[in-house]
Amino acid sequence: MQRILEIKDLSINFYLREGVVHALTDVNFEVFENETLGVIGESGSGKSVTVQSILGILSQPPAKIVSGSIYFEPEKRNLELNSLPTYGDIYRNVRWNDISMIFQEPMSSFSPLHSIGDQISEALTLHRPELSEADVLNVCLGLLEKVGIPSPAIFFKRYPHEFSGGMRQRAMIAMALVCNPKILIADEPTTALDVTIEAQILELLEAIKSEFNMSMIYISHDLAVIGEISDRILVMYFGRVVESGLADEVIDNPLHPYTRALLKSIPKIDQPIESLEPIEGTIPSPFEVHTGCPFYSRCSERLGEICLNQKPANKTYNNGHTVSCHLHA
Amino acid sequence: MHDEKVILQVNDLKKYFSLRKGFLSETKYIRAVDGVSLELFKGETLGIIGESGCGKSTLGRSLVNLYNITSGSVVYNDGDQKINLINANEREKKDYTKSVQIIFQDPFSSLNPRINVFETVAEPLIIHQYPKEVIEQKVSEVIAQVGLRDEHLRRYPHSFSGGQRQRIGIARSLIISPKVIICDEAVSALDVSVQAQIINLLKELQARYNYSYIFISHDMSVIRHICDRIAVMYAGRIVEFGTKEKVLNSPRHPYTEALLDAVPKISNRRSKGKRKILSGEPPDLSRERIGCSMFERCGYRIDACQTTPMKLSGSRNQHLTACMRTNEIELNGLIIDSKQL
Repeated sequence: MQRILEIKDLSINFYLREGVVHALTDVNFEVFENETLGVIGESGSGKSVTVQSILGILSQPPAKIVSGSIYFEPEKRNLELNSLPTYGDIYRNVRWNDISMIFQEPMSSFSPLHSIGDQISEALTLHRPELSEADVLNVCLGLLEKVGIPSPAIFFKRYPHEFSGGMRQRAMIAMALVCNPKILIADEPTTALDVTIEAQILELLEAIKSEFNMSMIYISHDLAVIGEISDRILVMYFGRVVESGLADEVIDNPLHPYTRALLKSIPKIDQPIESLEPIEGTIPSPFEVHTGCPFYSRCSERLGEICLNQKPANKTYNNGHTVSCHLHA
Repeated sequence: MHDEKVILQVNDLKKYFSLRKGFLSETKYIRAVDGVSLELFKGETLGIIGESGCGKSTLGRSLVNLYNITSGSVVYNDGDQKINLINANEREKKDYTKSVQIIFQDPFSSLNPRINVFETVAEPLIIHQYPKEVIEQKVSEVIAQVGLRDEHLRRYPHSFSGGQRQRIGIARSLIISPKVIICDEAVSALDVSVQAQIINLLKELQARYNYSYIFISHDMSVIRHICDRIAVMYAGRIVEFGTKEKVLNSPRHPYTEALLDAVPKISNRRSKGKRKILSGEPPDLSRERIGCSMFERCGYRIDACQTTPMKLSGSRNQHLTACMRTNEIELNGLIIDSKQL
């Protein structure tokens, strides 16, 4: 399988009045063609910053890419995205044509002042100026139908407030697909939805992904959802990738204490009820600087001095399972 | 765990919100809660599960007198005192709120940012006119019970994390020594690693003080973890009601089946595509309907479902369902050993 995206040693800081936030620290990962990469992490773990940096939609300042690179199609075009001007023509083309994104809140990510149809077709008219108005309409109606919106011609003219949450998310998916992207980034697309609607959207994404031959980066804080949809999983904590590997490996054989603790702390519907083992403490303040492992203070398997003072190295096993923890030195 | 003493009895509770459309046209109603009956036993945890808009929060708020009930009755009875919320006078209402408290969902908007933790937690006591010395002592007791420290008392809500704020919210509900606590999505807004802390805290407090909980949630995994009995709500009504074992292992309403099926499962990851995904979306609550409210979305429907009035039935206090076809259809629950529940 070929790589479609490679993130190398990416570090991003936010320079705020209150101090410096190390949002990402040495993040490394790859996305392969036609795969679904699930990114899991709690609030503040850096998952949204990661995808925003891929799309070049981080507001800089306050954010700054301190080091590292983002390569798109490293084997083919080898575009180094972070070196491109974010408002330049090349990056504009990458967005929508190559990479597009679905946002978390279907309520607030549409403009309330424009009809859904106008918003969906906008990207298409900008990126495919050769298309006639009728063609644009046809493509959009076709997509709306594909994502399961009944009578697309009617809904095309409607405004976001006339859509339910699930319908809005469907419209958002249609919008992300207008230019046939190669990578679809989904940032918590089902978090605001009910379970029955969530199941519908997950199934839809799965179907769309194989139909359009896309890769997908799926971000969530819900381990069960990530487990269901992903081929590979990336576990993030405090701006670092602490573990990554095949979905089955990460869930059945978690290597990092954080992943293990996370699995023990969530109530599961299909496993015996044991008392939950919460992770003690809270996520560290974003302004904290850690010389060692950021999970140190909450870790139940910590070794001592070494964890506090020394940065854990990345260890990769034969099956591609990587972990960054002193337990696996 | 709990005895069979009913502490809260709800009968045919209705809460309609009026929706005025235009000047001369007739008033429309949103039937948020449309005839809910249930009883809560002393010391038990009753789970209410449903999707957004099914009326579960409206029910919770009606039960603590935050909404004026349209019709029906809510009777609180702890042996010494019996209060009917509907025809209670001011004095009785005050006693009622002393016994029935609520924990809100959003730890960010449910605390007043302008007053510190001490004032927040002490407020119920001040309203109920406790003497000053008692207030101070009680606040520091209750703040320890929820795992916070005295030094936190002078701080303001913004300096706390989500989990800590939820603890403050819990302390505020506990301070008045209630018997019944309504937990309205009490853990939904928290990070997963913190969620477990709060669930465990609620369980510990119940074991110690024999609280009765009504635990409202949209998350089946959390409900399964904490509840003894489960009521499944759909479009303002309870469609299934029974013990946790019964409802989860052998559901008798198609909606419960779909709900269980839709929950992402960690150990059964590759079950994709085999699911019976519920199509469509919840119905418009302003439309009056005779038959089953799930008719449009149900895979087991027959024409009669649309015309036969919906009624929760089954042997008393056992496993109730509102599905008229329940004996003709075969529904799948979770396949778990009942001992493991």
